[in-house]
Amino acid sequence: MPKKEKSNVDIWLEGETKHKREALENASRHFDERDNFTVNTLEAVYGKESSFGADMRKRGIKGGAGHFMLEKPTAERYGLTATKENDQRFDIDDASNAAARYLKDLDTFFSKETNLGHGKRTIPVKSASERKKFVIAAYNGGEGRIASAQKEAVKAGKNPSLWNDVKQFLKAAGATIAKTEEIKNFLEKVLSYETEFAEKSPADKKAKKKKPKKSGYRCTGGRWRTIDDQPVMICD
Amino acid sequence: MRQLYIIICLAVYCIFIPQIYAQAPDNELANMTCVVGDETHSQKVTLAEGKYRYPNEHPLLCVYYEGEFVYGDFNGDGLQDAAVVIYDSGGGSGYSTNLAFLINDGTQLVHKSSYDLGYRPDIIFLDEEDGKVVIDMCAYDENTWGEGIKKRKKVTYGYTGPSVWGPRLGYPIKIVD
Repeated sequence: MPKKEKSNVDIWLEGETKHKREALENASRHFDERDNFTVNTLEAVYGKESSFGADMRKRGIKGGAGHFMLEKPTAERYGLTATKENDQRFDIDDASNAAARYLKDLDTFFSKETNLGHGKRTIPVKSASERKKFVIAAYNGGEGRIASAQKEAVKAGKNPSLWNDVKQFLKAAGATIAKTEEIKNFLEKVLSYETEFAEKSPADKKAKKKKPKKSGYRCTGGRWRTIDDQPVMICD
Repeated sequence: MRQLYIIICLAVYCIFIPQIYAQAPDNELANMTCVVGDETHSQKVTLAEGKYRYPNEHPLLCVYYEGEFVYGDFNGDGLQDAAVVIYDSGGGSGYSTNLAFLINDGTQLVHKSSYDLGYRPDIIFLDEEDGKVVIDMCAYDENTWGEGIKKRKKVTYGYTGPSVWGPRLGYPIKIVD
Protein backbone atom coordinates (compact mmCIF):
# COMPACT_ATOMS: atom_id res chain seq x y z
CA MET A 1 0.00 0.00 0.00
CA PRO A 2 1.73 3.25 -1.08
CA LYS A 3 2.00 5.87 1.63
CA LYS A 4 -0.38 8.78 1.06
CA GLU A 5 1.48 12.04 0.54
CA LYS A 6 0.87 14.73 3.12
CA SER A 7 -1.07 17.76 1.95
CA ASN A 8 0.04 21.31 2.67
CA VAL A 9 -2.68 21.58 5.29
CA ASP A 10 -1.41 18.41 7.03
CA ILE A 11 2.11 19.84 7.12
CA TRP A 12 0.96 23.24 8.41
CA LEU A 13 -1.21 21.69 11.12
CA GLU A 14 1.66 19.48 12.25
CA GLY A 15 3.79 22.56 12.75
CA GLU A 16 1.06 24.67 14.33
CA THR A 17 1.89 25.71 17.89
CA LYS A 18 -0.73 26.26 20.58
CA HIS A 19 0.11 29.93 20.55
CA LYS A 20 -0.47 30.21 16.80
CA ARG A 21 -3.81 28.43 17.05
CA GLU A 22 -4.93 30.66 19.89
CA ALA A 23 -3.84 33.76 17.97
CA LEU A 24 -5.90 32.69 14.96
CA GLU A 25 -8.91 31.76 17.12
CA ASN A 26 -8.70 35.06 18.91
CA ALA A 27 -8.42 37.00 15.62
CA SER A 28 -11.45 35.15 14.22
CA ARG A 29 -13.53 36.91 16.90
CA HIS A 30 -13.52 39.92 14.55
CA PHE A 31 -15.86 37.93 12.30
CA ASP A 32 -19.60 37.75 13.01
CA GLU A 33 -22.85 36.18 11.88
CA ARG A 34 -23.11 38.51 8.87
CA ASP A 35 -20.01 37.11 7.16
CA ASN A 36 -19.08 33.63 6.02
CA PHE A 37 -15.69 33.44 7.71
CA THR A 38 -14.40 31.20 10.46
CA VAL A 39 -11.01 30.56 11.96
CA ASN A 40 -10.54 28.11 9.08
CA THR A 41 -10.70 31.01 6.61
CA LEU A 42 -7.87 32.69 8.50
CA GLU A 43 -5.89 29.45 8.61
CA ALA A 44 -6.34 29.06 4.85
CA VAL A 45 -5.21 32.63 4.11
CA TYR A 46 -2.29 32.17 6.52
CA GLY A 47 -1.24 28.97 4.79
CA LYS A 48 -1.44 30.47 1.34
CA GLU A 49 0.28 33.72 2.29
CA SER A 50 3.28 32.53 4.26
CA SER A 51 3.00 28.75 4.61
CA PHE A 52 2.04 29.25 8.26
CA GLY A 53 4.88 31.66 8.94
CA ALA A 54 7.61 29.76 7.10
CA ASP A 55 7.99 32.30 4.29
CA MET A 56 7.56 35.86 5.52
CA ARG A 57 10.07 38.05 3.57
CA LYS A 58 12.12 40.77 5.26
CA ARG A 59 11.24 42.99 8.21
CA GLY A 60 10.53 46.63 7.49
CA ILE A 61 9.96 46.34 3.74
CA LYS A 62 7.28 48.47 2.08
CA GLY A 63 5.60 45.59 0.25
CA GLY A 64 3.79 42.59 1.65
CA ALA A 65 5.56 40.82 4.52
CA GLY A 66 5.00 38.87 7.71
CA HIS A 67 2.56 36.13 8.59
CA PHE A 68 -0.25 37.52 6.42
CA MET A 69 1.76 39.42 3.77
CA LEU A 70 0.28 42.76 4.68
CA GLU A 71 1.74 45.73 2.86
CA LYS A 72 3.25 48.34 5.13
CA PRO A 73 0.46 50.93 4.55
CA THR A 74 -2.21 48.27 5.19
CA ALA A 75 -0.48 47.16 8.38
CA GLU A 76 -0.18 50.76 9.54
CA ARG A 77 -3.88 51.33 8.81
CA TYR A 78 -4.60 48.64 11.42
CA GLY A 79 -2.26 50.19 13.95
CA LEU A 80 0.76 48.00 13.40
CA THR A 81 4.33 49.25 13.37
CA ALA A 82 6.29 48.05 10.35
CA THR A 83 9.89 49.15 10.68
CA LYS A 84 13.08 47.17 10.31
CA GLU A 85 13.61 47.33 14.08
CA ASN A 86 10.04 46.53 15.06
CA ASP A 87 7.80 44.91 12.50
CA GLN A 88 4.55 43.73 14.05
CA ARG A 89 3.59 41.98 10.82
CA PHE A 90 5.96 39.31 12.13
CA ASP A 91 4.07 38.97 15.41
CA ILE A 92 1.38 36.33 14.97
CA ASP A 93 -1.04 38.01 17.41
CA ASP A 94 -0.81 41.43 15.79
CA ALA A 95 -0.68 40.14 12.22
CA SER A 96 -3.63 37.76 12.55
CA ASN A 97 -5.73 40.46 14.22
CA ALA A 98 -4.94 42.94 11.45
CA ALA A 99 -5.62 40.33 8.75
CA ALA A 100 -8.98 39.39 10.31
CA ARG A 101 -9.99 43.05 10.58
CA TYR A 102 -8.93 43.64 6.98
CA LEU A 103 -11.02 40.66 5.82
CA LYS A 104 -13.96 41.94 7.85
CA ASP A 105 -13.60 45.44 6.36
CA LEU A 106 -13.46 43.98 2.86
CA ASP A 107 -16.62 42.02 3.63
CA THR A 108 -18.31 45.26 4.69
CA PHE A 109 -17.16 47.02 1.51
CA PHE A 110 -18.74 44.34 -0.66
CA SER A 111 -21.89 43.92 1.44
CA LYS A 112 -23.10 47.44 0.64
CA GLU A 113 -22.25 50.02 -2.00
CA THR A 114 -19.04 51.62 -0.81
CA ASN A 115 -17.32 54.61 -2.31
CA LEU A 116 -13.63 53.74 -2.55
CA GLY A 117 -12.78 57.11 -4.11
CA HIS A 118 -11.52 58.05 -7.58
CA GLY A 119 -14.71 56.81 -9.22
CA LYS A 120 -14.49 53.36 -7.70
CA ARG A 121 -17.57 51.96 -6.00
CA THR A 122 -18.24 48.44 -4.88
CA ILE A 123 -21.46 46.79 -5.99
CA PRO A 124 -23.15 44.89 -3.14
CA VAL A 125 -23.01 41.11 -3.13
CA LYS A 126 -25.96 39.94 -1.02
CA SER A 127 -25.02 36.30 -0.51
CA ALA A 128 -22.36 35.97 2.21
CA SER A 129 -20.89 32.83 0.62
CA GLU A 130 -20.60 34.49 -2.80
CA ARG A 131 -19.25 37.67 -1.18
CA LYS A 132 -16.49 35.66 0.45
CA LYS A 133 -15.04 35.05 -3.03
CA PHE A 134 -14.91 38.80 -3.70
CA VAL A 135 -13.33 39.42 -0.31
CA ILE A 136 -10.60 36.80 -0.68
CA ALA A 137 -9.89 37.97 -4.22
CA ALA A 138 -9.66 41.54 -2.91
CA TYR A 139 -7.32 40.49 -0.10
CA ASN A 140 -4.89 39.38 -2.80
CA GLY A 141 -5.67 41.72 -5.69
CA GLY A 142 -6.78 44.85 -3.84
CA GLU A 143 -10.35 46.04 -3.32
CA GLY A 144 -9.97 48.80 -5.91
CA ARG A 145 -9.16 46.29 -8.63
CA ILE A 146 -12.11 44.03 -7.76
CA ALA A 147 -14.52 46.99 -7.62
CA SER A 148 -13.23 48.09 -11.05
CA ALA A 149 -13.82 44.58 -12.40
CA GLN A 150 -17.40 44.73 -11.09
CA LYS A 151 -17.87 48.00 -12.99
CA GLU A 152 -16.51 46.41 -16.18
CA ALA A 153 -18.87 43.46 -15.71
CA VAL A 154 -21.84 45.84 -15.54
CA LYS A 155 -20.69 47.55 -18.76
CA ALA A 156 -20.59 44.15 -20.46
CA GLY A 157 -24.09 43.26 -19.26
CA LYS A 158 -22.85 40.63 -16.78
CA ASN A 159 -23.85 40.14 -13.15
CA PRO A 160 -21.46 42.16 -10.92
CA SER A 161 -22.51 40.13 -7.89
CA LEU A 162 -21.36 36.81 -9.31
CA TRP A 163 -17.65 36.07 -9.03
CA ASN A 164 -17.69 33.83 -12.11
CA ASP A 165 -18.90 36.80 -14.15
CA VAL A 166 -16.64 39.39 -12.53
CA LYS A 167 -13.42 37.37 -12.73
CA GLN A 168 -13.55 37.61 -16.51
CA PHE A 169 -13.06 41.37 -16.24
CA LEU A 170 -9.94 41.54 -14.09
CA LYS A 171 -7.81 42.24 -17.15
CA ALA A 172 -10.20 44.92 -18.37
CA ALA A 173 -9.89 46.43 -14.90
CA GLY A 174 -6.16 46.81 -15.34
CA ALA A 175 -4.70 43.58 -13.99
CA THR A 176 -1.83 42.09 -15.95
CA ILE A 177 -2.05 38.54 -17.27
CA ALA A 178 0.07 37.22 -14.39
CA LYS A 179 -1.85 39.20 -11.78
CA THR A 180 -5.18 37.93 -13.13
CA GLU A 181 -3.97 34.34 -12.87
CA GLU A 182 -2.59 34.97 -9.40
CA ILE A 183 -5.88 36.34 -8.08
CA LYS A 184 -7.87 33.41 -9.50
CA ASN A 185 -5.35 30.89 -8.19
CA PHE A 186 -5.23 32.53 -4.76
CA LEU A 187 -9.00 32.36 -4.39
CA GLU A 188 -9.21 28.77 -5.59
CA LYS A 189 -6.46 27.63 -3.21
CA VAL A 190 -7.75 29.52 -0.17
CA LEU A 191 -11.25 28.08 -0.60
CA SER A 192 -9.84 24.60 -1.01
CA TYR A 193 -7.55 24.95 2.03
CA GLU A 194 -10.44 26.34 4.05
CA THR A 195 -12.51 23.22 3.35
CA GLU A 196 -9.60 21.00 4.34
CA PHE A 197 -8.91 22.98 7.53
CA ALA A 198 -12.60 22.72 8.43
CA GLU A 199 -12.23 18.92 8.35
CA LYS A 200 -8.85 18.60 10.02
CA SER A 201 -8.07 21.62 12.19
CA PRO A 202 -8.66 21.44 15.93
CA ALA A 203 -9.14 25.24 16.04
CA ASP A 204 -12.37 26.45 17.64
CA LYS A 205 -14.77 27.31 14.81
CA LYS A 206 -17.17 28.96 17.23
CA ALA A 207 -14.57 31.48 18.40
CA LYS A 208 -16.11 34.10 16.09
CA LYS A 209 -19.19 34.16 18.31
CA LYS A 210 -17.11 35.58 21.12
CA LYS A 211 -16.13 39.21 21.42
CA PRO A 212 -12.62 40.20 20.27
CA LYS A 213 -10.19 40.34 23.13
CA LYS A 214 -6.73 41.73 23.59
CA SER A 215 -4.18 38.98 23.71
CA GLY A 216 -2.62 38.33 27.08
CA TYR A 217 0.26 36.57 25.42
CA ARG A 218 3.73 37.78 26.16
CA CYS A 219 6.60 36.18 24.36
CA THR A 220 9.56 34.85 26.25
CA GLY A 221 11.89 34.28 23.31
CA GLY A 222 13.18 37.19 21.28
CA ARG A 223 15.69 39.99 21.34
CA TRP A 224 15.75 43.39 22.90
CA ARG A 225 15.95 46.49 20.73
CA THR A 226 15.95 50.14 21.65
CA ILE A 227 13.17 52.08 19.94
CA ASP A 228 12.66 55.74 20.85
CA ASP A 229 15.01 55.20 23.76
CA GLN A 230 12.72 52.50 25.17
CA PRO A 231 13.69 48.83 25.47
CA VAL A 232 11.34 46.73 23.33
CA MET A 233 11.24 42.94 23.06
CA ILE A 234 11.01 41.76 19.47
CA CYS A 235 9.40 38.33 19.68
CA ASP A 236 10.77 35.45 17.63
CA MET B 1 47.81 72.72 15.63
CA ARG B 2 47.86 72.62 11.87
CA GLN B 3 48.58 68.89 11.96
CA LEU B 4 45.62 68.35 14.26
CA TYR B 5 43.41 70.31 11.87
CA ILE B 6 44.52 68.16 8.94
CA ILE B 7 43.91 64.98 10.92
CA ILE B 8 40.41 66.12 11.85
CA CYS B 9 39.66 67.01 8.22
CA LEU B 10 40.93 63.62 7.06
CA ALA B 11 38.85 61.85 9.70
CA VAL B 12 35.72 63.73 8.64
CA TYR B 13 36.46 62.95 5.00
CA CYS B 14 36.98 59.26 5.70
CA ILE B 15 33.85 58.94 7.81
CA PHE B 16 31.32 61.04 5.92
CA ILE B 17 32.30 61.18 2.23
CA PRO B 18 32.03 57.42 1.60
CA GLN B 19 28.61 57.43 3.30
CA ILE B 20 27.38 60.23 1.07
CA TYR B 21 28.56 58.36 -2.02
CA ALA B 22 27.18 55.08 -0.74
CA GLN B 23 23.73 56.63 -0.34
CA ALA B 24 23.73 58.52 -3.63
CA PRO B 25 22.95 55.65 -6.02
CA ASP B 26 20.26 54.24 -3.76
CA ASN B 27 18.62 57.65 -3.50
CA GLU B 28 18.70 58.02 -7.27
CA LEU B 29 17.10 54.62 -7.74
CA ALA B 30 14.55 55.19 -4.97
CA ASN B 31 13.21 58.09 -7.05
CA MET B 32 13.41 56.41 -10.44
CA THR B 33 10.81 56.43 -13.17
CA CYS B 34 9.88 52.95 -14.30
CA VAL B 35 7.22 51.05 -16.16
CA VAL B 36 5.24 48.23 -14.59
CA GLY B 37 2.91 45.90 -16.41
CA ASP B 38 3.07 43.58 -19.37
CA GLU B 39 2.26 43.49 -23.07
CA THR B 40 -1.43 44.08 -22.34
CA HIS B 41 -1.27 46.75 -19.63
CA SER B 42 1.44 49.08 -18.50
CA GLN B 43 1.91 52.11 -16.37
CA LYS B 44 4.75 54.58 -16.14
CA VAL B 45 5.35 55.71 -12.58
CA THR B 46 7.87 57.79 -10.69
CA LEU B 47 8.79 56.54 -7.26
CA ALA B 48 9.25 58.80 -4.26
CA GLU B 49 11.53 57.36 -1.60
CA GLY B 50 11.15 53.91 -3.07
CA LYS B 51 7.39 53.85 -3.43
CA TYR B 52 4.49 54.78 -5.64
CA ARG B 53 0.91 54.36 -4.55
CA TYR B 54 -2.16 55.50 -6.45
CA PRO B 55 -4.58 56.42 -5.10
CA ASN B 56 -3.40 56.47 -1.52
CA GLU B 57 -6.63 54.99 -0.18
CA HIS B 58 -7.77 51.72 -1.76
CA PRO B 59 -4.96 51.82 -4.32
CA LEU B 60 -5.07 50.30 -7.77
CA LEU B 61 -1.33 50.29 -8.16
CA CYS B 62 1.53 50.20 -5.68
CA VAL B 63 5.16 49.97 -6.76
CA TYR B 64 8.02 49.37 -4.36
CA TYR B 65 11.79 49.46 -4.59
CA GLU B 66 13.38 47.76 -1.59
CA GLY B 67 17.01 48.69 -2.25
CA GLU B 68 18.01 45.68 -4.36
CA PHE B 69 20.22 46.82 -7.24
CA VAL B 70 23.46 46.25 -9.12
CA TYR B 71 25.40 48.49 -11.49
CA GLY B 72 27.11 47.42 -14.69
CA ASP B 73 27.37 48.10 -18.40
CA PHE B 74 24.48 45.97 -19.60
CA ASN B 75 24.18 47.21 -23.19
CA GLY B 76 27.90 47.36 -23.97
CA ASP B 77 28.11 51.10 -24.67
CA GLY B 78 30.66 51.81 -21.98
CA LEU B 79 28.23 53.66 -19.72
CA GLN B 80 27.16 52.53 -16.29
CA ASP B 81 23.62 51.12 -16.27
CA ALA B 82 21.60 49.75 -13.37
CA ALA B 83 19.49 46.69 -12.75
CA VAL B 84 16.98 46.90 -9.92
CA VAL B 85 14.30 44.69 -8.44
CA ILE B 86 10.89 46.33 -8.34
CA TYR B 87 7.69 44.99 -6.83
CA ASP B 88 4.16 45.98 -7.79
CA SER B 89 0.76 45.16 -6.37
CA GLY B 90 -2.84 46.26 -6.52
CA GLY B 91 -2.78 47.10 -2.82
CA GLY B 92 -3.50 43.56 -1.70
CA SER B 93 -1.14 40.83 -0.60
CA GLY B 94 -0.34 39.66 -4.13
CA TYR B 95 2.63 41.19 -5.83
CA SER B 96 4.81 40.82 -8.92
CA THR B 97 8.58 40.82 -8.77
CA ASN B 98 10.51 42.18 -11.72
CA LEU B 99 14.11 42.81 -12.62
CA ALA B 100 14.26 46.18 -14.37
CA PHE B 101 17.13 47.26 -16.60
CA LEU B 102 17.75 51.00 -16.39
CA ILE B 103 19.96 51.99 -19.29
CA ASN B 104 22.19 55.05 -19.14
CA ASP B 105 21.40 57.30 -22.13
CA GLY B 106 24.29 59.62 -21.35
CA THR B 107 22.31 61.87 -19.06
CA GLN B 108 20.09 59.62 -16.98
CA LEU B 109 19.02 56.07 -16.28
CA VAL B 110 16.02 55.09 -18.38
CA HIS B 111 13.96 51.97 -17.69
CA LYS B 112 14.06 49.97 -20.89
CA SER B 113 13.11 46.42 -20.06
CA SER B 114 11.94 44.08 -17.34
CA TYR B 115 11.99 40.38 -16.55
CA ASP B 116 9.29 38.75 -14.46
CA LEU B 117 11.13 36.86 -11.71
CA GLY B 118 8.23 34.52 -10.99
CA TYR B 119 5.94 33.94 -8.03
CA ARG B 120 7.27 35.49 -4.82
CA PRO B 121 10.99 34.77 -5.11
CA ASP B 122 13.33 35.62 -2.22
CA ILE B 123 16.15 37.71 -3.63
CA ILE B 124 19.37 36.90 -1.82
CA PHE B 125 21.95 38.73 -3.89
CA LEU B 126 22.39 40.53 -7.20
CA ASP B 127 25.72 40.54 -8.97
CA GLU B 128 27.12 41.72 -12.27
CA GLU B 129 29.10 39.28 -14.41
CA ASP B 130 30.28 40.00 -17.97
CA GLY B 131 27.61 42.62 -18.60
CA LYS B 132 24.81 40.45 -17.24
CA VAL B 133 22.94 40.28 -13.96
CA VAL B 134 23.22 37.18 -11.85
CA ILE B 135 20.50 36.77 -9.23
CA ASP B 136 20.95 34.40 -6.34
CA MET B 137 17.45 33.60 -5.14
CA CYS B 138 15.06 31.08 -3.68
CA ALA B 139 12.13 30.50 -6.01
CA TYR B 140 9.23 28.17 -6.67
CA ASP B 141 9.15 26.10 -9.84
CA GLU B 142 7.44 27.90 -12.71
CA ASN B 143 3.64 27.96 -12.84
CA THR B 144 3.23 26.32 -9.44
CA TRP B 145 1.84 29.48 -7.80
CA GLY B 146 3.54 28.77 -4.51
CA GLU B 147 2.90 25.02 -4.36
CA GLY B 148 5.89 22.97 -3.29
CA ILE B 149 9.02 24.41 -1.79
CA LYS B 150 11.34 27.20 -2.87
CA LYS B 151 14.68 26.12 -4.27
CA ARG B 152 17.85 28.16 -4.22
CA LYS B 153 19.18 28.95 -7.67
CA LYS B 154 21.30 31.41 -9.59
CA VAL B 155 19.79 32.83 -12.75
CA THR B 156 21.51 35.08 -15.28
CA TYR B 157 19.62 37.86 -17.04
CA GLY B 158 21.01 39.86 -19.93
CA TYR B 159 19.70 43.05 -21.46
CA THR B 160 18.35 42.16 -24.90
CA GLY B 161 16.67 45.39 -25.91
CA PRO B 162 13.54 47.26 -24.88
CA SER B 163 10.50 45.38 -23.55
CA VAL B 164 7.18 45.60 -25.29
CA TRP B 165 4.68 47.27 -23.01
CA GLY B 166 1.05 47.65 -23.91
CA PRO B 167 -1.22 50.63 -23.50
CA ARG B 168 -3.22 50.93 -20.36
CA LEU B 169 -6.87 50.04 -20.83
CA GLY B 170 -9.03 52.37 -18.84
CA TYR B 171 -7.67 52.05 -15.31
CA PRO B 172 -6.27 53.70 -13.46
CA ILE B 173 -4.55 56.80 -14.73
CA LYS B 174 -2.87 57.37 -18.05
CA ILE B 175 -1.41 55.66 -21.07
CA VAL B 176 2.29 55.06 -20.95
CA ASP B 177 4.37 57.42 -23.13
